[in-house]
Amino acid sequence: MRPMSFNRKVVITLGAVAVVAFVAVYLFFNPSTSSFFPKCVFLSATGYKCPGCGSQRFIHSMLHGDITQALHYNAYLMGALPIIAIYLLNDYTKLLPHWVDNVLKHPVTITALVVSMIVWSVLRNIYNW
Amino acid sequence: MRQYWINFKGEQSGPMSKEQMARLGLDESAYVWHSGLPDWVKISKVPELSDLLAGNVEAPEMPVEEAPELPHQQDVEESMPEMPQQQVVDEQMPEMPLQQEASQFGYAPDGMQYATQQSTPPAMPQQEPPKCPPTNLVWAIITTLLCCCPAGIVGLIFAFLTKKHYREGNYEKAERMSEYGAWAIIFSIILGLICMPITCARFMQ
Repeated sequence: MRPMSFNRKVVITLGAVAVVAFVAVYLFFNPSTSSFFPKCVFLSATGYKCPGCGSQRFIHSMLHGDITQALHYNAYLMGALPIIAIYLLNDYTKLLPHWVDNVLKHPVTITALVVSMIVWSVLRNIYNW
Repeated sequence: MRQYWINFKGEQSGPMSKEQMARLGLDESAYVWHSGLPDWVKISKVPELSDLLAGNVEAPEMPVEEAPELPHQQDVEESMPEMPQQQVVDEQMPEMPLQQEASQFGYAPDGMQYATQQSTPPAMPQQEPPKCPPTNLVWAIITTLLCCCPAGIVGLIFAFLTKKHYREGNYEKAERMSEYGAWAIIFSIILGLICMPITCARFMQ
């Protein structure tokens, strides 16, 4: 294995610190009751929920192991987070075979993502999910 | 009749004759390989095929030996004397006419020896056709879902366009769409960051 460059070490260290800090904040503070968490810009501007609304409460609930509550806040993320993880693995490591890249970035896949997000945001505003 | 292998819009086909190639409607983005070439070359670099390119009705011009658009040819000549290389070829290759033809037309890539007389084309090199520009797809998804405001969905659409143009062979357009997508993501993150304190302040009252 090639020795890591200094830049790469810095990036990995900073990334690890950021992830730990992120997890700690969402583990110890509850976004529903604490006021310093950012609120969704789209929701404040239009009054409609965006596809990502509830993601902070989702993360908080998930970190506390409360899956039903997490699903209640944002069910879409439950499916999307593993997909995001696969995308990140595919982009930044060489662990996955090449055909995965072809599937993940196929125009059909991207279209499916966009359509599912739009459908999700329409439905959640109709049924108040 | 010489048999050619074609790599056109990411798909490889062959062997086929020149007449069959004429029916494919090839353009400048196509790569071609035939027995005797060490590697794939752009179709425009093969003089005997240049009349296949659309809009190229005139008889193909024979390029001069020191073609100015091929700087690596000069490198070869500078780095190693002409004669020894030819001798190596002589010793290894029984089919001299082919080899001579390849180097004489000036489209044989750099100083590689024509060591093997392959009957199947070599693997298409990674650089050409160019790699797909980054789609930034994962960052578009993250910005859309993790609440930097749903402007990230524009990034998703640009990711789609990047991939679409790349698959159609419009590499420059794909490059541009990739760039736009990156800017859309950066824009939505900044917009989210600017708006966050405002929304925070509103909810705190």
